[in-house]
Amino acid sequence: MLLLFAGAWLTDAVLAHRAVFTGWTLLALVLLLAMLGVRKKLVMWPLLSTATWVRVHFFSGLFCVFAFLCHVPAGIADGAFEGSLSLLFWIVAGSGLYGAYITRVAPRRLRAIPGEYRYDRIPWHRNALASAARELIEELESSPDQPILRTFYDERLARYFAAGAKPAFLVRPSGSRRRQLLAELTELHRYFSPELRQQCGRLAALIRARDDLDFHHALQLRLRLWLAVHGGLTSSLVIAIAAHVLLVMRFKGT
Amino acid sequence: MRDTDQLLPEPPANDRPGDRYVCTFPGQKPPCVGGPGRRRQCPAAGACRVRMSAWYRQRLAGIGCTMTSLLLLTAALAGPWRAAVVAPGELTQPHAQILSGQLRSDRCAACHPAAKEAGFASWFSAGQAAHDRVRMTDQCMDCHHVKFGRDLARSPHNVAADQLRQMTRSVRNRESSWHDALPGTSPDPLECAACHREHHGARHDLRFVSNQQCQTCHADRFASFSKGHPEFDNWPYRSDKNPIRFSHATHARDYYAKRNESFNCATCHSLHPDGTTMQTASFEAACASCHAQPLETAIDSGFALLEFPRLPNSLVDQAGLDRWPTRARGSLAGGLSPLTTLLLRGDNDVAQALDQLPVGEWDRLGIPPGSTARSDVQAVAQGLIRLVDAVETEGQAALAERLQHAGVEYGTALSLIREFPVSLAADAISRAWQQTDLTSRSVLRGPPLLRLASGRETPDAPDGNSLLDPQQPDAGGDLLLSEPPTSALLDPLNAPLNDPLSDPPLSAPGTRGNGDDSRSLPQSPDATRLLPTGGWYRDDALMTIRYRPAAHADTRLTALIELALESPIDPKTREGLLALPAVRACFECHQASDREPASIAWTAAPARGGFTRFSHGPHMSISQISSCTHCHQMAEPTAAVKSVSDGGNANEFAPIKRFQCAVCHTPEAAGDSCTQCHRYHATIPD
Repeated sequence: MLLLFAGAWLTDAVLAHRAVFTGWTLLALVLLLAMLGVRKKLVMWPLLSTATWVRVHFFSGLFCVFAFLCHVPAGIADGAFEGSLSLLFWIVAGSGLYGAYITRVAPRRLRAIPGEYRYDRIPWHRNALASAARELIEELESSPDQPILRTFYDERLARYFAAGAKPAFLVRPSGSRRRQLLAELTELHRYFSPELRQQCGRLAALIRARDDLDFHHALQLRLRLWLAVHGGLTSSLVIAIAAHVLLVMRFKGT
Repeated sequence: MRDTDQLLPEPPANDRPGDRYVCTFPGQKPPCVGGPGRRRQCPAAGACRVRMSAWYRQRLAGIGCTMTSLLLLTAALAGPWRAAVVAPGELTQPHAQILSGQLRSDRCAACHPAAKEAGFASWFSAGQAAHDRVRMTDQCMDCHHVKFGRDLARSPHNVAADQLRQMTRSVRNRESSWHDALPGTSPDPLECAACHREHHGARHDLRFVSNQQCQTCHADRFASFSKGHPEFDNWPYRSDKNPIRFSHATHARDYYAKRNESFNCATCHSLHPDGTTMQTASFEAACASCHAQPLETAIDSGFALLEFPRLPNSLVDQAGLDRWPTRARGSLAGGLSPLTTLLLRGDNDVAQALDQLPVGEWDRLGIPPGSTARSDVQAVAQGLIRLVDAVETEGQAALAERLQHAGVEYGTALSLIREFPVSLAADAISRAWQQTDLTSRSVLRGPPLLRLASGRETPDAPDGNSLLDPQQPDAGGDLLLSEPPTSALLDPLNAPLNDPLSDPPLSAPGTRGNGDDSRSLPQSPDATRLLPTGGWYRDDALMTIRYRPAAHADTRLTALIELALESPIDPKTREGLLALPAVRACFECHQASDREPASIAWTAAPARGGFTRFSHGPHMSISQISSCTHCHQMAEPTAAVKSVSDGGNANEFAPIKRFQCAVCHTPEAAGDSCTQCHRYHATIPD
């Protein structure tokens, strides 16, 4: 960063365009940042580990933000095209900073939850849990207290197990729904025989498992969405930067 | 794991990383092994629904983003709105309003050569040979060439490189500081865009240049105006000669003191309407009360446009000069005035002869028969007659042409001969000067002639055109005109005509004696009384056509001085013109420049241009410093300063020091940016 400031100051000192110097620096940084995606695809290259690349990507991204502020002190450039480019940069940079956060927090939170679910198989697991719950209820048909449980299942649990996670839960997962259901189930224990109570424990386990699955779904969806935005807009940013560089080199004052 | 936890089945393993589609079969054992194919086909048709994998969805989203971006970019750059889209910001208001009438794409092309091309691809192609050498500075100069020339547009300060180098060398011996070690730039050439950057909004100040930018190119650098800025060097007083020779000290201490009057700056100096400079009052307002009368007396003699020397009869007859004035016959006397010489030089036949003849009086010139001097004098005489004839027939144009031929500028020539009466010279040699003044009654009737010459009975001659109008009846003039020349005139033995010793030893001033010292000779007219407003007149005593200047700043006298100083005339003529009493009177106060070629500035206008600018207006509106003497203090009366009244170059005022300005010009107060007092685009006076 000191080098960047020194270079910018030196550029001013020789009456050159400071924006040209910071612009080239910015371009180099953006290309370096985009190389992470390339590195991930070129697995055969023995060019440091992906973890190292990610670390380089992260610090380069931070530096890129400062370089951009040197390039566009106002934050958003004037003009339709350059203003859009600035906005695009901030979205990508902002998503990058969010990614730096989420890629550290989400795995830790996911590891704290029992179970390992691949994202593509979450619907299958959901179905499996719903089937298991249904089978359990049917298995308990012979119990004299079963109608209570059956009613509870039909009214509260069937939809819970069948439907997917609600958007509100996906945006902000919480345990309130799980706690609510488990509390209601616990409330019914006074009506259950000891054997049925034990079987209710299995149902409670299924409820917990379903909640864990939804939690996995929410966090993994968040990660994937972040990657889609960050990665997708990066390609747009690179295209826009290329056009910007061509226009600047063509039309800059000489 | 808790005892109530359920062991859940594992999902089927018929999918791989990178699959586009995944199987949604709910059971553990799907009917297929490898899952859906790349084209979404399910091997067990109908057994399960195929769903796009998350990875593939992400990939498609990325491709979609890319394609959308490309489409948007193409649409933005391909349409007629592309100039509006890619413009990197608004133009400053002066440029925007100048270009407001143009099409959007043309507006860009006003400064950006590359935008002249119409096609979309052309914006990015390099194949524009027509504009390869056109740089933006050239585009800027299309409008701004009025301020400074194109040839110096890229030179620092718009000053020629060698001139700037010389200036730098002269101020180089200053204190060095660590700022000198800061990186700089080689400033030549320097494009406009180095300092002036557009597209920063309508209110952006294009002219703003930071102190750092200013110091980039300077050999001597410093921290701020109060720390390290070079001390003022004899500023603001001019280094060249002041056009007006005026000693403030002498006037203050001597002249005004004697008159018990206060020497007030405001008497002569006031703020110019432009609010920046101080203007000096006119001669009439500031100086005339003391200097008008002496000046009028000094310039009274004026100058002679045409002068006829007195030539021997034999010479005149030999040359066949029938029209040679009678009064101009006799022993060789007189000569040619400098202006007459100049006019005759316009005649190719005479120029050579003039080179051989002495300047001034010819009284001692020997012209024996057969000598080259004699033939030279004859040629001059013939030239004079031709000149008068030319003036009579062609008018003032003949005079202007002769002067131009001698190297005088057309405008100066016209100013000199303005309102010259074309018939004055012709009438003089045809009539007035044909009157003999020997033993004729005309000579005896000198008084009437004198009366005529003195103008007591002269008719109105407000314009001085015909002061001695031959048409006017004179008490004895008709006798002078009608009587044939006396035999004495033709008598070669008549010594008085040919014998210079016959000239009366005490002939009246302004007369050219013809041997009859007992007669009343023509006197020069009292032009002061007769031509108070100036004008052309005939001097019969001196055989000249003369001009009497009106007053200060007489246009013909000033034209004469400009002619003498600035025209490429021969040195002898120049010397003769500058020696005229009327001209020397002007040089009592006015001074020619020291430069070559010499020139004269009639007013002491403040120097404009240069690197430094100062506006008196804002300073004079502050009561604490509004007095002139706050900044302009008289210098110690050294010998150099005292020489100012004699035309010396020394400044009477002590140079202003930097600290005097730095008291107020701090960043927090009046400001100390470089451009506040200095201009980059300097016009260095020659």
